[in-house]
Amino acid sequence: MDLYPQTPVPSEASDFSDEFKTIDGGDWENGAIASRPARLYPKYSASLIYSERDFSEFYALYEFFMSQRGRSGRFAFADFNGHDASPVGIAWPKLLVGVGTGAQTAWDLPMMNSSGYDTGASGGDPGYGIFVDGTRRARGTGATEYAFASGTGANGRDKVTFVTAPTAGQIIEWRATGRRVVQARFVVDKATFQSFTNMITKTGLQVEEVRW
Amino acid sequence: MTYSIANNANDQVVKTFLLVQIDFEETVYWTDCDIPIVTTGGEGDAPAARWEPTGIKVSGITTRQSDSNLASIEIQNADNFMSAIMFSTSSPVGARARVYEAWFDPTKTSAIPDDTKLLLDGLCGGPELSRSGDTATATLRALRGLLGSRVIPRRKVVDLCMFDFKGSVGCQYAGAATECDRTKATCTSLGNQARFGGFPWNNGA
Repeated sequence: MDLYPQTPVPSEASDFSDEFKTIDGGDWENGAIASRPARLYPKYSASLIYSERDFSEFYALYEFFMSQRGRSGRFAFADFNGHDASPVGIAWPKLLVGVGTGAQTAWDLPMMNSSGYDTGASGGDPGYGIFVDGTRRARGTGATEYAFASGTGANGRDKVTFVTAPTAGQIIEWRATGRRVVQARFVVDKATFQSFTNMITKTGLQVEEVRW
Repeated sequence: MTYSIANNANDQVVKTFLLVQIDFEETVYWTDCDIPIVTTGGEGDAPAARWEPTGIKVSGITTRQSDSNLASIEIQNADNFMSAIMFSTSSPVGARARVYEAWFDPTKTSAIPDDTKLLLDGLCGGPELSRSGDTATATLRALRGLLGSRVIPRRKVVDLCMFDFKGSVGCQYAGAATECDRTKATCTSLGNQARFGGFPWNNGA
């Protein structure tokens, strides 16, 4: 899978969103509104605006759009927020890594340039790191339950390898500071060069997560 | 009603998703959840399986006390998976389809549901491939139960009766007995065999 071009860099902070879905039981006359979640994890999307770039940089993005054949292509997209910060990226809430199979020990994380997952003593801040069914796994003194490898996953994603594979049905989540990575696609099929230029300079070039 | 459903039936935080099992040449296990759901066979009616997310919509399902009906199962076909099935030598018509509802307690942290409930067990009717605009879907039309030719209305194919004892729908027994072991023999001894809710010929029972 291709990685979305890392250069040029959007000139403004990426406007990203996370969208849930909710099933409603109706809006009733007495004011009662019942609802329940239809999605456990949100769908990520981003709008990217580039400005004051030369033609060759625009053309690189246009060429990438063409290579993906519009919406049909799937690529890895790394959120640009905090890309030049130190530490790199921003702090994210728990992100879905996957659902255990009972056999798979190595998992690519939905993040690159991860940091802050094991700061502090004895395995780090309990609010950050990798969680299996909501329980944080240790990666510190005397209790190493997983190994972390920076940038060794697909498309430069970070990777963890568990000592013992999470059992089937266990939900694996990752919380850290870094650049969030999702499998994504463009949201439009059509882009003349002029409209494409308008999109990336004014209205925003939009991508959305495609999880499966 | 199982413990989980009884305790969370009115809870807006409880999460429920559909599980769809269809016996094509190879059985598929799909869910409308956004992550895979894993069942071990011990969470109610659903068998042990890993239910993979896919674009699927179950519509027109109606559940009553004693039976359920389903109008259609719509499945994404952008990957031509369903096309391959429909164009194969074995038609999906007549393939057994089961729809379950998976219940997750509000505090649940894993992808293993607390309960699963069989909503419908039937046979696929006429399939239909559609390419409407830029959307490619396959629809398995009304399960045969709607046509009245064959339906397994929310009853497992087991020899024991699945009706609630003395329930107003199904059993309707109004005699003095206080217990029933759900066998055909006991039902007969109670004089209620006309409303027996099992399949006594199953397993030769």
